[in-house]
Amino acid sequence: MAEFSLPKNSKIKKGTHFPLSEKADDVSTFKVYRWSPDDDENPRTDTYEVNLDDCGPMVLDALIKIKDEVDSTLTFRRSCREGICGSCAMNINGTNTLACTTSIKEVKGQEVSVYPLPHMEVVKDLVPDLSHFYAQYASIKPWLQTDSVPLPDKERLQSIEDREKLDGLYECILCACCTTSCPSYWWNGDRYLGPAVLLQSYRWLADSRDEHTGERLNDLEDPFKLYRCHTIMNCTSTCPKGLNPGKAIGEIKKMIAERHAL
Amino acid sequence: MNYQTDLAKAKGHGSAHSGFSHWWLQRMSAVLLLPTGVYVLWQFLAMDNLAAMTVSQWLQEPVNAGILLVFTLSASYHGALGLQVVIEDYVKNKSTLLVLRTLVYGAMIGLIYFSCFAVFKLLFG
Repeated sequence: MAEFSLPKNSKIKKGTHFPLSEKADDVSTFKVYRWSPDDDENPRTDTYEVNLDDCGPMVLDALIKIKDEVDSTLTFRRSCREGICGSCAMNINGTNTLACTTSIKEVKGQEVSVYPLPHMEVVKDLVPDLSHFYAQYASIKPWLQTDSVPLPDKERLQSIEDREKLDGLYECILCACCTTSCPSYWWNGDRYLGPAVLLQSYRWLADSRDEHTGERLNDLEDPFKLYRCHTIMNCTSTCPKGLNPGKAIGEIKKMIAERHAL
Repeated sequence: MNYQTDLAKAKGHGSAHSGFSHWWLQRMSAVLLLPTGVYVLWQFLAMDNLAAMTVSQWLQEPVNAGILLVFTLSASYHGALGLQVVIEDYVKNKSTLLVLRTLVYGAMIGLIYFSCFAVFKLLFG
């Protein structure tokens, strides 16, 4: 059966509280999930007080400040700090999003809770293991596939209208916020491709230059890979880039329906 | 120790090349359920009472019998398709999954048989 409760060694305990060393006017508390594979301890949540007058405006700024000034063992991924690399995807106050584009002030409540992306194996602290997610992405062959031989001095042309069909698809940064918010992916992530990978699949199905539409649809027509999507729509509501994976999945189902002469 | 690569695990057994008909029939049976369900509910609410005599008289009208039959058939089939999805979602053990799926479709066939039998018996006496 699917697991509905945490195993014994995953139960989260209360951790250490790190108060501010000096008084400040604008203080926010960050409750951060901590777990290290190097000891046999259960995960815990440490709380850190941060002086917002001396910190950047985003949750990622606070995490970097905590790592720099309070606890250097805190582990998380980050790179571009402007919402384009997807590295700092995490669960902030119950919503999967990017720490670098989430304003501390916009987070409701006094305390900001920060957890890793849900239902993935944790490597350490806020770092989830995305190996299977990336392998699923590789399995859909996310590149232009053609059989016709292009002229050596010519590009593969695309009309402006056809190029516009890729808007809302090419912007996906593969942060995995949508996939890890999907209950279907939680229960059947081993076989269900999940919203991010299916949106990427549709990105290539919608590309007028691609010549492998049939093969791509063949690979997707499966009760688990595609049809495990039950249109729960968590993916669309959580996407930090404002994309609509639910619609992309619907478009793939429509293409398969058309192929069945409907 | 499993030395299978992540890509091999992700590809698994490949595509079953099915799933569309299940998805399509689930929607089609839902579309049939809506008007027939509303009709049956409306007719039952409009009856003076739900005594056996009143209902069997209502069922002797071929239109009513036909609509009730479509309603029960699509409800049974839609229910079985939906339960199959729930079982596949939550049951990981292959043997349990097979047994439960067989039970669900067995129950569906039973329900369809008894529905047809009851409706035809009341229609033709």
